[in-house]
Amino acid sequence: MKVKILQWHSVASWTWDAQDETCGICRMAFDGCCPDCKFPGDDCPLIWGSCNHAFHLHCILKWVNSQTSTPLCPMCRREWQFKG
Amino acid sequence: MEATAKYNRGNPAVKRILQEVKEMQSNPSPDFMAMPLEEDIFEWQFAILGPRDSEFEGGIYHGRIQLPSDYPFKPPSFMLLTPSGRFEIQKKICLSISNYHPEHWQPSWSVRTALVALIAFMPTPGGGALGSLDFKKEDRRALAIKSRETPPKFGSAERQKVIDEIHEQMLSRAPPVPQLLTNETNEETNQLPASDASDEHAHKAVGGVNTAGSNSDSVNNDLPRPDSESEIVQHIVEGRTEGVSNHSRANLSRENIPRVAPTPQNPVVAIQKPKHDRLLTLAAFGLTLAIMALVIKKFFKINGLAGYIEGKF
Repeated sequence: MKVKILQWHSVASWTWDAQDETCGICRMAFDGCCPDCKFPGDDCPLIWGSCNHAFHLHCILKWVNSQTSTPLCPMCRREWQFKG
Repeated sequence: MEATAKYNRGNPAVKRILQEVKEMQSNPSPDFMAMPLEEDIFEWQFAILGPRDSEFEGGIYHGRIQLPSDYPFKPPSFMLLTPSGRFEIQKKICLSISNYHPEHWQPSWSVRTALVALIAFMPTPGGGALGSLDFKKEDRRALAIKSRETPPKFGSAERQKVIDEIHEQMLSRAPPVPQLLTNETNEETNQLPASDASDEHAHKAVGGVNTAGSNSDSVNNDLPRPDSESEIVQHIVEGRTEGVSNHSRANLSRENIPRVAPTPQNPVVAIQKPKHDRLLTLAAFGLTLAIMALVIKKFFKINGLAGYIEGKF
């Protein structure tokens, strides 16, 4: 049996390398986007904290900006610091 | 869900709440039940079972949750509708998960976690907090029994419909109010007879001692001193004889080994033209490859790998 390759198309897929599958704030999947955005990817990236918890960028910014005192991580209640 | 078509899906709070509704329906809990109104997804009606091993056990307590417009970044408010002896009815209660303490709220919490916390708060003392009561245990138990009979009356007809539906489902799940029973189990401990074990050990020790005694007696009786000395001398003589014979054998073997000197051989040099030689080498190489290919092919045929060969080529 002989097989001759005439043409080929390449397909690539990507996913976020996070411990969980959903954002702890909006409960949307990480491979999806936050409730305000329409497409995942560069416009709606994930952000990690120093405690290694990940959230959508817009979700965690909304939470951090809404806090009058020191913002805490929504998952583990430690002081929230963006991972460098 | 037809009802979801009404809601504004552009609102992030609505999206989050719809997500929780789906999660509640796909993973129902035996301890509580909650669902939003059709007209207002920000208002939920819930019912919780009294925690086990407490005076609230078996009771069905209804309540209402009001979610804020910027949920989950702000905490909801909770109101109990069934008298329980722990929380006032139709009054917002003060808890670390309610809107009285927004500084303690976490956006990762949800209606599910709030209801679990509410069940856990039932047996704790009220401590004079807003909306808290401290009834006696007997009164609380009476209220628990009474809570199963009829659902509370509250609000409009739509709310009452949701409350009645929740109450019926909770009744089918909830076990009856338990009676207080005290069962004591007496465990008997079986002790092994230590005296028997000690006796066996002593018996073994005695046997050992006897055996040793018998051995020593036989040795003393059978081997007197003069005989033992003569035997020792004989052993020494035999040893010397054997040593001598071994040494002589070694010497003979060494002398008999022949020594062959290596003889160098002179290689024969063949004089030929370089071109002719190269052509012959290439021809020989080609022939060798052909022969090897044929051998391998035959080998595969013998082993029954014809299909593999055909497929490969």
